Amino acid sequence: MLLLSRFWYLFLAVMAAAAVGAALLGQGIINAKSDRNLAEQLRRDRFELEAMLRLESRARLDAIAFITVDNKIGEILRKAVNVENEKGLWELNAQLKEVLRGHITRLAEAAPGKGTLEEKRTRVAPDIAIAVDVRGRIIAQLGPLMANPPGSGLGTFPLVRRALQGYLRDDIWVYDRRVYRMAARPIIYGGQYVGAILHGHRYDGPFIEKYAKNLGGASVAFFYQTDVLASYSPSDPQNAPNRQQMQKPLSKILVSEKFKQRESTDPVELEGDGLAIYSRVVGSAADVDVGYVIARLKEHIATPIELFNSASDQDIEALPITELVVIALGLFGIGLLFLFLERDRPFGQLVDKTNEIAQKERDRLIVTEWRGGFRKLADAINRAIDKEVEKAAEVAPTRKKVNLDEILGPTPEAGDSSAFFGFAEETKAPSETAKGFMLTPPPPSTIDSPKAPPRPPSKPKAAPALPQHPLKPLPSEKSADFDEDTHFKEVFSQYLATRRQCGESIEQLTFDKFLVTLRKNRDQIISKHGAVGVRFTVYVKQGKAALKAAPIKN
Amino acid sequence: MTKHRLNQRSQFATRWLALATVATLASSADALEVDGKLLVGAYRVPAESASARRSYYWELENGVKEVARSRIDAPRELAVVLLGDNASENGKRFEVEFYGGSLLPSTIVVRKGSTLRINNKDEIAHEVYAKGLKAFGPETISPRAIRSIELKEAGSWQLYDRLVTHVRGQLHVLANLVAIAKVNPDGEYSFSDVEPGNYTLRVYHGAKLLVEKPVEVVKRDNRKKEIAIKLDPITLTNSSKPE
Repeated sequence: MLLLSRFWYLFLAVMAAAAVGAALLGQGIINAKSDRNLAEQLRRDRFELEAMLRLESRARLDAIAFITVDNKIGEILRKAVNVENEKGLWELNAQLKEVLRGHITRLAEAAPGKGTLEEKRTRVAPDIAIAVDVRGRIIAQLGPLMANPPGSGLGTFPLVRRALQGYLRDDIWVYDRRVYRMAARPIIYGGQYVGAILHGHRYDGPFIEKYAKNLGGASVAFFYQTDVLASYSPSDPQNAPNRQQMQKPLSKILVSEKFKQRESTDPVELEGDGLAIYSRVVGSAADVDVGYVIARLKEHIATPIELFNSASDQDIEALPITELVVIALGLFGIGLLFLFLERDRPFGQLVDKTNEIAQKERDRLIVTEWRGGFRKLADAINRAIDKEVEKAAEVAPTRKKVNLDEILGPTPEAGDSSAFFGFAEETKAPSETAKGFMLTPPPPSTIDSPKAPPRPPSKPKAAPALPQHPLKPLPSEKSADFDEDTHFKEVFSQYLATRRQCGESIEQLTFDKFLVTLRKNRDQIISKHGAVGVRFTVYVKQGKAALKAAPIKN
Repeated sequence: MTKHRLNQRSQFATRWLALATVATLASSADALEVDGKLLVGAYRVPAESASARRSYYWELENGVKEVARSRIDAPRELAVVLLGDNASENGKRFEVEFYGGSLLPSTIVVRKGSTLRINNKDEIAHEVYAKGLKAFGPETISPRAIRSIELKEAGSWQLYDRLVTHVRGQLHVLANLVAIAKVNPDGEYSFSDVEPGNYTLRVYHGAKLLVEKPVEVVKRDNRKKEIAIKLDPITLTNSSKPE
């Protein structure tokens, strides 16, 4: 039945399924952990970006420091305090614009890095620059509103108000529907605060790229409500979240509770397998939903195979290779052992025993020596042997007839309905019995069968085959409970005794050979006469021991 | 007093002169001028609420000159009004401005049923609205444009600006409003064309009612058309409560 082997196969199958399950489970666990790590990474990115923005705003404040000590600006702004008429303001406006332009040129000249002055000017020049007097009135400005008449007020803007009080301060403004990163410094002239200077830069690609690159692999975008002001997506990794993917959730983000509470959002799933957090900027513009988003691509393992592919050399080196090999060999050995015990060994035994049959050391296999399939096989072999024997008896009548004739005397014709067959004719009786015994039909009186057909008159030859010596019925013939093995043994012992009496040799005569001959004849008689059994009788024919066979009809 | 403060005074004086002229023409012969002073030296501008998000990374003193102290912008932030039973129908139009980036005044007190006109004198647009008041929803006021709002409902509402986020204001619509004083940067205020009678004086700072006290305006000399009445100075402190 190969029970152990089957159990082993089941065990291995369960182990394999468990391994696959573990791999899938590991994939899920790793992906979940990866998401958690990514969320944590995004939070760290946010802190880093905030720190960079903080430093950047300080750099802008410092960059305009030299302007605030320019006496020309101070002088003009002090004059402006007392100027109410438009003409006077325009005059001051023109003067101050020139001074501001000069300062921007100096700012470009002092800018670090390579490039022409014009390139540097493009890089460091503010998008908006405003000079206000101590009343908060705009005396001059550069930028999109520079053509406006002077005199408009900015005094209530917290940035301007505090700068006029003497503070250096930064802020983020939405001014005229544009978003600026502002820096403001007071102007001191003659020991008095006479105004303030404001510089503003818009969010643009180079600015974001500069800081996003420092985050290493993160995409960054600044937005004003649902519009993206500028964005940066790295080329590595590929498929990093892009502008559209970061922009898409904005309409929902703006109304989310955490964003309303001015906190950064929880990580948000983006299209394209990205994760992002959204946060407001630090500045007045936060009140009108100006913020930024930091996004990263998820690093998910799609299949368990990727899990193995993602293992590093160190991971592989860390594996207990020796132990794993020992375990594998052990499992393999157990499998082989089970295979040997349940297949190879009994198969070998079966082969050996079958060879013994071929070498005539045994006649049949003892089926109880095997179990399961091998037992069936042994049984089948036994049946095959029996059939071959029968077939040999049927398909080789001449030889068998000769043999029978030699041993038992002439066999009756197939159409002979006589219950007596295999009777050796006296004239054809072999002078020498190869097998050491002869078989002749018994006298009708000895057949223990009421239905035994009378000897047909058409077989006159059968008459001479009658025994010359009266037969002694075997004890078992009278027995109602016919035991064939016992009968064969009795017949064999009688036959040996008769041969001795007749002075014949019994040296080469064995029970096994005798038994084979009896069985062959038994089977032939049974098949020809439809008998249920055959009884053999020993008698002396022409001074030699001979056997007679009689079918048992009922 | 610095020149610019004088200029501010003259600006307010001009503005209120127009209103006073209108009121004078419409007033009866017994109309009086009532003056007073708010002592604001001890009054500190309430700090921003703790929940308000910090709107900057850096705010540093300049290191050269001591920074100036924050003080209340009285003309913009304080409103002094008289309430009484004899509220007239005059002055049904109240004018405020956007100037310097915010409302002037930011504490607005108007009579119920009147029209509020907001004149934008900034170079940028505003979109002011009263939170909770349907008639005063958000609407863009372009530079140099005017917006009118009819106020038929009494109450008090906070004002916000969708475009300029630091803008804050308070709108008080009162049914028995008699007069609105003009306030100068030093806290001096004056009512014009006040009929003799008993009134209630109120001082507002945004949504906060700082002072509420009864005032009796008495005509002392029948020969004079207008008699200036001086009220006792009122000291504003952060613990000021309506009397």
